[in-house]
Amino acid sequence: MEIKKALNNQNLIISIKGRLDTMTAPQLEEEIKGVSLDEIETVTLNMRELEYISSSGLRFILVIYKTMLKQGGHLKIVNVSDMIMELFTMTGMADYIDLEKA
Amino acid sequence: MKQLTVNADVQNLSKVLEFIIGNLHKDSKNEKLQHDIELVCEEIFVNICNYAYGDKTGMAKIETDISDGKLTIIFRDNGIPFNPLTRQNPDISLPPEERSIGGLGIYLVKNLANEVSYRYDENTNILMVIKKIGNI
Repeated sequence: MEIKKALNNQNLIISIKGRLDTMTAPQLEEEIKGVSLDEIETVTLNMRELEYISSSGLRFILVIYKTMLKQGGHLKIVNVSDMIMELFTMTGMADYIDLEKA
Repeated sequence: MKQLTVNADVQNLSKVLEFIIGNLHKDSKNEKLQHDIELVCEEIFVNICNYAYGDKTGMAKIETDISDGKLTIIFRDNGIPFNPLTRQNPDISLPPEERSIGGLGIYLVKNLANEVSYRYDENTNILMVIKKIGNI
């Protein structure tokens, strides 16, 4: 997995390439810990190059979602493939997370 | 039938997935099907790694078989008897802030596999999943 972070004023954009699974989700969590989220208004996850996600990746997204919700911020996920959208729908996450199809 | 025995350690996850996917004929490997199979197997294998042996280590044995357009995968471990399928599904009707973060993995397994069953026999947890892969 490769992660790119871009901070633009109060907006954090994270692009994930490759696999977000049991082995790589902790790596992404570490990366996020390095950013003080309380100063961020919107976190945008760009999934254009995400090839695979498992429950570890979905849990990570839930954690970010809850963190942002608590502080009145926003999580947005963009470039979601049909395949991954199906998992968001299946888990009910599509009901409340701001998702944008690829 | 093919089989692989590894230490129940998440470090072996990619080895397990490669073994399972490697058994598929390349014509049956569409992206979505492969994703479903890998996801189901990751959730089950990681579950064994995290819970089967407590603080101790142990083995996990994986068997795969393809017949009649179905991929059958059987996971065996000699850990604590535990049927993950009895785990309560996450309540996806709750407001997001009240939803628990656990239980997603097995929920996905139940939804993505065509059949899942568990039995405990001769000190062994046996979890079998079947995924339709079409006739090849």
